[in-house]
Amino acid sequence: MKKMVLCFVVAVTSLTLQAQFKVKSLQQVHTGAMEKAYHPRFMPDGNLLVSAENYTGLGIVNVKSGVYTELTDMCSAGYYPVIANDGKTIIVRQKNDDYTVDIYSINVADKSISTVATQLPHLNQLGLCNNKVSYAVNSKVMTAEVTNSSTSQKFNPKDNIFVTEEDLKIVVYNNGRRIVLDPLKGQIDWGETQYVWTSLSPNKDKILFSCADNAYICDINGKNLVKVGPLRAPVWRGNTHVVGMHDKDDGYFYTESNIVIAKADGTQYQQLTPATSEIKMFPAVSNDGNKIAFHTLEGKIYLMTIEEE
Amino acid sequence: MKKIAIILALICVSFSASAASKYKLYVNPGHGGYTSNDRQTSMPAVNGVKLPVYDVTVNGGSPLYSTYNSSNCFWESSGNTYRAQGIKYFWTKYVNNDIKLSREANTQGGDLTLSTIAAQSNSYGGYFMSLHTNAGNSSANYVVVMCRAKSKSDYSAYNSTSLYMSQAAANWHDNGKLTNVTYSTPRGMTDRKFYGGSGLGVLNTNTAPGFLAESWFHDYRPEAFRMCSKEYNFFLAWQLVRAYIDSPGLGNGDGVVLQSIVVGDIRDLAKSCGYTSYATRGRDKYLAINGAKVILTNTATGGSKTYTTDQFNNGFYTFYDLYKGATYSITVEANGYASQTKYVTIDDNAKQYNLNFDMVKGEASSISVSPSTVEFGELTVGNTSSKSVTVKGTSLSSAISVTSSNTTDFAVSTTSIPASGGTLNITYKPTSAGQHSTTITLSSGTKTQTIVVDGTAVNPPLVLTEVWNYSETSGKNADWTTDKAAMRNMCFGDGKLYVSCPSIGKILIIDAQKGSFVGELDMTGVEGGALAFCDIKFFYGKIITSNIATSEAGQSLKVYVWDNDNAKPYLFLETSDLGGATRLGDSFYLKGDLTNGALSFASSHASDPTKIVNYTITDGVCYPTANVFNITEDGVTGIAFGLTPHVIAGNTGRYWVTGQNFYPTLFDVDGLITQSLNAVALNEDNAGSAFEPFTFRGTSYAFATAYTPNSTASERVRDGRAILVDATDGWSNAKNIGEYPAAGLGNTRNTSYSTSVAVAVNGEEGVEMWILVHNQGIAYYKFGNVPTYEVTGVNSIISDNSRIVVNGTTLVVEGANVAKIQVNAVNGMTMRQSTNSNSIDVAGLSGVYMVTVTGANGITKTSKVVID
Repeated sequence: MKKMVLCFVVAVTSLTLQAQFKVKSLQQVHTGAMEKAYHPRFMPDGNLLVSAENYTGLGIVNVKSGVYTELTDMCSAGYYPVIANDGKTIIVRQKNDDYTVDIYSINVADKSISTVATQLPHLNQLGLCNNKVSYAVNSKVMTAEVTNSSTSQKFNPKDNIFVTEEDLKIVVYNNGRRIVLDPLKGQIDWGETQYVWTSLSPNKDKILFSCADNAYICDINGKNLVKVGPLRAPVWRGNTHVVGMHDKDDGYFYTESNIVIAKADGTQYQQLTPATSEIKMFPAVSNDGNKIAFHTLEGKIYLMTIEEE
Repeated sequence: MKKIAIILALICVSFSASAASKYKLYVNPGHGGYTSNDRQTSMPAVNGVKLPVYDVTVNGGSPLYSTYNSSNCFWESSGNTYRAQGIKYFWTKYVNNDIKLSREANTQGGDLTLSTIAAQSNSYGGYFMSLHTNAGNSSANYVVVMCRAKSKSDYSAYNSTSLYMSQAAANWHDNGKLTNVTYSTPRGMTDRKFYGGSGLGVLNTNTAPGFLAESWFHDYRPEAFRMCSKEYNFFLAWQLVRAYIDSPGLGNGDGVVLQSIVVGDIRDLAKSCGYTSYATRGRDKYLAINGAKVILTNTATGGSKTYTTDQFNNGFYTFYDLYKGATYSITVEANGYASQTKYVTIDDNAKQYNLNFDMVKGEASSISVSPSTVEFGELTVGNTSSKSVTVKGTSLSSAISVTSSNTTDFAVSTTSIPASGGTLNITYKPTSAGQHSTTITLSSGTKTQTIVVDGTAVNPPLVLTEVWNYSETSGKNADWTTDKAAMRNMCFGDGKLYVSCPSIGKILIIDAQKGSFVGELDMTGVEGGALAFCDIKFFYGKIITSNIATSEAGQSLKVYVWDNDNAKPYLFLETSDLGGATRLGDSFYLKGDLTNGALSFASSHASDPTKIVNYTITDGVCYPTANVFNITEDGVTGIAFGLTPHVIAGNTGRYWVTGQNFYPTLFDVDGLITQSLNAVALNEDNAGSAFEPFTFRGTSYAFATAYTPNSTASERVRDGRAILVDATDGWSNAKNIGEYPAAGLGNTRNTSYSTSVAVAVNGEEGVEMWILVHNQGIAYYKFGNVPTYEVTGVNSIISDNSRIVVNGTTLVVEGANVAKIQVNAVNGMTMRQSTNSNSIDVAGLSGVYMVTVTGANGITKTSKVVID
């Protein structure tokens, strides 16, 4: 096992008046054979799933050893995969040359791949709950069972809430009912509202999304809208905070980007990464909320440990 | 390669591939909002004239050109916006509605971060285009279209489709360019090959096949001027969509057909572009003509569109959505330049046709006419009048065609005039009275000119000729007209006059044109009233008369009908309900017919207000209940028309009424006066009782009876005549255009005021009129061509109770002592004769014969008799 190289450990000063989080460490993660790795995702055991910049392929980086293990080279496998709670199964997609999408289940233990569905039209979010894969096709939620992960949870009606994007609108499938949400309708002056980076909070009460370069949170009915702040690629940290990136560009190239954290009620906004020349993007948060991984434009993976003060 | 292990029992759901994602497109107009993140190019003045200033806050940042930062600038974001709108136009018209733009308008908020744009592209699915223009050294001008490279070290394309699309877009831009370029090879390549480094941000995490297009350099000023044109950007958008449908697996194979486009620029190659501070090359070195009018015309259908070059010094024009197989003419007109026309045939879809125009000083093409309006004034129907117009053609490429909107009343001397011009003769040839006009259109190519022509046609004077006149004044008589006091009324029907002679108890049947006696009606049973019969009418072959009934005498009003000349009369109406009138029956009118309609009477009294009394006819039954219709001046005040009033009931509920004391007057449905006949037209004599309106050759006329005016009552109602009035300008302005006979019919006063006028109009050919004035006589006049009536004889009587009847081969005279019967052919040859016998054998005879019967009383009557 290789030792991780400690690039720097910095106590990052908060950019807000009231810093809520202290950065205890910030380390680059060696990605072994995957020289340039992007889009990190936390496995339950703390290791990271990574893929290429354009989401091609998927593999696991052991954050301690720096060993990279390829799981698949599928096109778009790294585009928002979902990981079973026990870490045994990963659900991925493959974009085919005929512009259809297949869904596969990867058994992490032996890297075997099983077909879940094929020849689907374009789709966005995937869901995995109690060994059932969820995805929306033609305005209906489809489910398919995978069996190599354990089923430990009792049935909860919230398990049947599935949130995705369809034609850049937020669509909620709530126990058989389809609701299209457009919470910022009429509030922009350059065209129609378009929503991305949509995700359901861990407690499945709220929806996080981005519109017009800002992150917002609303309830599953599209009400009680809260503007979180100017951050892109937002992800939940628990049910109370959001982590994302604050990137800038000149219309052609990225010129600056940092990882930020914000309170879900929009009252706090804090830059976590130091203002270096590196372009830090697309953060992921560990299940316990204490670690944040992100990539840089050059394909480096960093792991940050934070502590709430 | 992915490994597939069938180790799980999966519920796999498969769907057929959706074509939707294959034809979805996400478009990003680069930059936006005129901010520091946007890119601007200062624009030179052209021949000292700066571009007009616009407020960028209007219309979401349009038009393109702005004064942002107080400088005359073109902003890249504006051109990018218009190209995105152009792509949306062509996509929705020719592909489908699955297209979204990251911004539709050019506002600061719409200038999204690259990461958001890429994420929106990923979420939407399908293909991706980011639209930009380049900038360099103010001289370079080329196209580069970039897709994503594999990595920083591997410049090959990550996606082969993206590379194909990039190259196709670059090729379409470059091969269809309007200018020369500084880099001759179309540049479709990967981003890192062009830029190096980490590549284009909008492609970094973008999973959609597609590209970022740098469509020319906006700091090459001629290109910046072009980029100011929305339509130029639409043209570039057409090229990008055209390139898209060339991509593998797309476009024509799925029935996506893009219609063709024509583009070009219009310049004066004898003048420089008007600025020297920036590089220019090729045609860009020459003056672009602003405000040139470009007319595209489909040569087959004549449909046309017009494009006017803008004020941005680019001379650009375009027409898109052109039909395959169509041939179009394109004509350019500009002030100070000779017009030019070129032709293009669209031999296929999805093609671009470049047609530039090099304008040369000269006169613009035109058609001029002198005069442009022609007024013929007044002309009599049937006559013709001609006037000429000088036509001049300038710089026309084809002959001038001539069309007229009214070929009935006007004629033109030719339908084609040489391109240089000529003389056009216009002839007015009205066929009916009234005002006429035509618009004559002269056309050559896209040029048209019109001549407005007016004329007024009047009918030739309607002057009737006397045919026969049996009156006191003429001193002429037929055998049946000697007793002028007996002739009270008359009517016309089927070539005959029916002359009511109540004082002798006869209704005579007269050959209307010849004035000869034909026979008499059977008066059996006609009785009762102040007069047993008085007025007479002919409707649809039936003869109708009414008696005169007075309330004072308690008399019933009776109406009799003869179904034909030989029929016996039957009582059609008998009623004691006179509707409150003191006297009815001097005249009457049948509205509708004898099956369904009404009999209308005007009450007669020297001073009491006249009322109209109607009796309804339903299913052939005339009901005896009087329905009174009051006529008033103002809704209250009644009008005393006097003795022998006549009524004409119109089909719209209106009534004409005339009488001893009032001029012919029209009442509306409420019984109110609408208008009266012009008193001057009747020589201000209102004693006439007959009024007969008619239309001839489109003009309203009427005959009304009148007398020689006289202020002394005892001298009035002499010299009765029918006055012809022309009501072209309305009845109240009617003009007296003739009196028949001018000298009147007789000097004996018409104390009954009974007069009759009958009119027969023969289409547009002629008019006949008969006038009868009680005590004075009867006469016949005609105008133009009138038909010759075939009047057959009736089985006539020679005394009150006798008649001629043909019974098989025997002719019998009933009800008379006969001294002699003579049957002559119509040429006068005697065919049969007998004496002292009421019958004669007519075997072997067939046709019309003149039968002369001499009674034992010495009276001789001659009748036409038809022997079958």
